[in-house]
Amino acid sequence: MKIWLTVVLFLVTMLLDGIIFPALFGFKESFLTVIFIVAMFLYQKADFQSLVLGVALSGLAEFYWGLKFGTLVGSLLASAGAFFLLNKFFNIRGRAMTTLFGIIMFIVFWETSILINKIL
Amino acid sequence: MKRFPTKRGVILFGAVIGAIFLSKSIMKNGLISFPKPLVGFESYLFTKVENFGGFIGKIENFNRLASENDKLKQEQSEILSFKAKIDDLESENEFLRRAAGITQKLDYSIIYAGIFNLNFAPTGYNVLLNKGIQDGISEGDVVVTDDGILVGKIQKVMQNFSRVLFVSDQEFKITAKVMNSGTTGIARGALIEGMFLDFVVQEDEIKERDVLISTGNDLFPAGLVVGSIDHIEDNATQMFKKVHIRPAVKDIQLGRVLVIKMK
Repeated sequence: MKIWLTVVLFLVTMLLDGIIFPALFGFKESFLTVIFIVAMFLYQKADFQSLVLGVALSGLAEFYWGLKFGTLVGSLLASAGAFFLLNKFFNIRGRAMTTLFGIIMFIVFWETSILINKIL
Repeated sequence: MKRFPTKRGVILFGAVIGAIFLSKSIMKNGLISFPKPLVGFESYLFTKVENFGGFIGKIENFNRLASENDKLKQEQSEILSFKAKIDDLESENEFLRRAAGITQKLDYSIIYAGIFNLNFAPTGYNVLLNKGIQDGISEGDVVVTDDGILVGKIQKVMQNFSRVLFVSDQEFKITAKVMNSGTTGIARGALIEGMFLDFVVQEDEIKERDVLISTGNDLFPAGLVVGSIDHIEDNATQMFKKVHIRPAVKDIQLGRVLVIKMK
């Protein structure tokens, strides 16, 4: 997927997540943005370029949400690290396996964010 | 999956860690600023989308209006007697204040604001207001709706926007009491579960659908609506009851809010 398209989709996701869902449906528990970052990383075959793009998008989300720098960027690196570590031991192929490891990556991302936020 | 270039990965990791430490040492609260038109536009969009959503909701609820009307008529008569009672209590309160030589409570100054982002992040609810330092907002100010429903308090202030610690956030705590009862406790946020009311002993009088308001014994003004009792887990072997609260803010529109200046 082209970088510009990923960025546009990310901005649309943030718009849906932060404005459309809560304002139109009163839905306050949406975490689509974080899912998007993880999904984008896996969709682009978890290569270096997708990690850099993920770091940039996480940084943008941190800036927009007024979070401390590193809360999302740091946790993305930690979850990517966990993914690469698992990739060494397991043969992650096929949709089912990628989805399963995506969920693991998401959980690591979420929990690490909470931890980093407390540390920072 | 492709083989990941470890060397470049380590460089990226080092660069990010370096940037985190750098930002921690040089950046201070209030440095971040958005272009004003962007904040204004997003706030406008949030309100408009909310109004549109409310309009659709109204159409959907049209059939329920008739039965609600009957119910409201009944409640109106109850409210009238309640109002009369409040009126009586107000005059009695004023008299007692005069007699005891206590001055009237200071009025807080208020700033009108709009929410332009509301979502769920790993750090909790992410609620952003379109007013910041330049508008006179400061940390600890209380955010309410025009109906006096508690939304949260200002957690972090930037130049032209601020971050709200939402009532359902885990860090949020407020001393609250059950309306028309002496039962008090500490209400704390529990994210998706809403809120809990702690320190309610087994003997305390409390029931489902009771309304909780702030006591004013902490850094919040008194009389703000926190929520209602959702359900109570009554276990006689425990010292305290486990009281679940449904935050009032869950059922309302949040486009426009008021910020009560506490300093």
